[in-house]
Amino acid sequence: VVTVVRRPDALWRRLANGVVVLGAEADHARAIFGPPAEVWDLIAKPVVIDEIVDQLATRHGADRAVVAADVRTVIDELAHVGALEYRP
Amino acid sequence: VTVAAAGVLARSLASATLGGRRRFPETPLPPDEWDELVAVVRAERMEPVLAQAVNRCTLPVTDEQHVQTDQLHAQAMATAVELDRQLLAVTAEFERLGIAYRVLKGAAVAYLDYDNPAGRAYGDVDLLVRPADIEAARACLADAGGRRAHAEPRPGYDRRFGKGIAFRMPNGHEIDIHRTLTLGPFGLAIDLAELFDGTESFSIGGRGLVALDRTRRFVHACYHAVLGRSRPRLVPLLDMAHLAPTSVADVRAVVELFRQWRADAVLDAAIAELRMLGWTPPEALDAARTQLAPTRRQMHWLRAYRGASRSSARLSVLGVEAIPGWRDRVDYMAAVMWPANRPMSRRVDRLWAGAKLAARPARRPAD
Repeated sequence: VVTVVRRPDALWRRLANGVVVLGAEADHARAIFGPPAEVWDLIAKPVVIDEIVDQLATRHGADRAVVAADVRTVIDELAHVGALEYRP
Repeated sequence: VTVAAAGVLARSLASATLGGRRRFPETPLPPDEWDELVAVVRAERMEPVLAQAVNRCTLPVTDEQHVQTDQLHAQAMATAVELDRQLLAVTAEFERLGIAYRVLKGAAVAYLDYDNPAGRAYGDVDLLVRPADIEAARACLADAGGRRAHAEPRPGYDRRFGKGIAFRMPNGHEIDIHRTLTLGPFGLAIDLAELFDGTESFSIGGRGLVALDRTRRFVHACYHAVLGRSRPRLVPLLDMAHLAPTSVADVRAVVELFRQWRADAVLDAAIAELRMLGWTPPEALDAARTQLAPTRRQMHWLRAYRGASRSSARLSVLGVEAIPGWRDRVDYMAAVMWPANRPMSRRVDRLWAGAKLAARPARRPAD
């Protein structure tokens, strides 16, 4: 099972309604606002993506397929900037 | 709408974070007043304070203002993490070169003294190095493409007398290398070995860094709040409140440093400023305040830092009063009054300006 987790060298700040992340491979920080920012909290420890989706869908009473697509987008973006890593 | 009114509201916001009881508007500010407030907040680096006030409903805002507040906070934190990366790069290079350092202000205080580092914004990287390492640190930053803001007045000035050196790096970030904590006589009166002595570690991005210990961070916050600008800035005052010692032993350690560094007047003024913001000092600190003994010379120095008449030339000239030893005084005054890097006409202008300032007031108070 593949899990995702923050990279320890990612620099970040948690805001009231979002998170600002500077990935190891990015020149500039980017901000994620709203429920997608909760992905950052959930990947403090290695976690499978399905579990993130389940937690957020339950927490927000949202359609699982919609949440899954949004989570995938955030995960891909964080991976792209070097802010998270995949672990077997 | 005036900047002054926005400034008063910004002070009220700062006060609210300290538990001060202030009155706020009952309805969202109209656009022009909001814009003024945003301008003051940005100038004072108070984006986290505004965000806290808005998200806790202390300050009523429109939906649009709420979004703007969150964006401002995010922008400030984007700057902070980018500066953190710069800090990590510079300190890694210093470590490789054997240059000991202490992280000052922004990052150190944000990580060590605020519940959430997002509660403290900052706009540059500040590092203290030993006088003996000033030249090596300077060369290191120059090699990395940094350009210093002001040339060294005379060879050896940076190491012997300077407050520090500001570098603008190729990515636009500023790195300040400090030899001491402030310009002028109070900075020159600090025992730099003693300043460097107490340390505390913290980590950013999984890497360990070294800051001043809590006692020295508090002392620095007081210097920064009272001596950094002609009017006290709000963020250093908030730092002071976060760092204020509470135990008798910790207060004693703080007072001892202020005494050694001939700065009783600075601590006294810093506590007074923070009180005016609605803060109640811890009992032990308040009690210690009555034991402070600012001398007339300290008060004379303090007046030069504060108010509209503040000038770096005046502070530089006054600095000689804090320098022990004939040879050092002569060399310092030569560098201040007759900088070798200035053309003759500028030298003469500066000489005259400095002489006028030094002559004011005519009688210098004795300790």
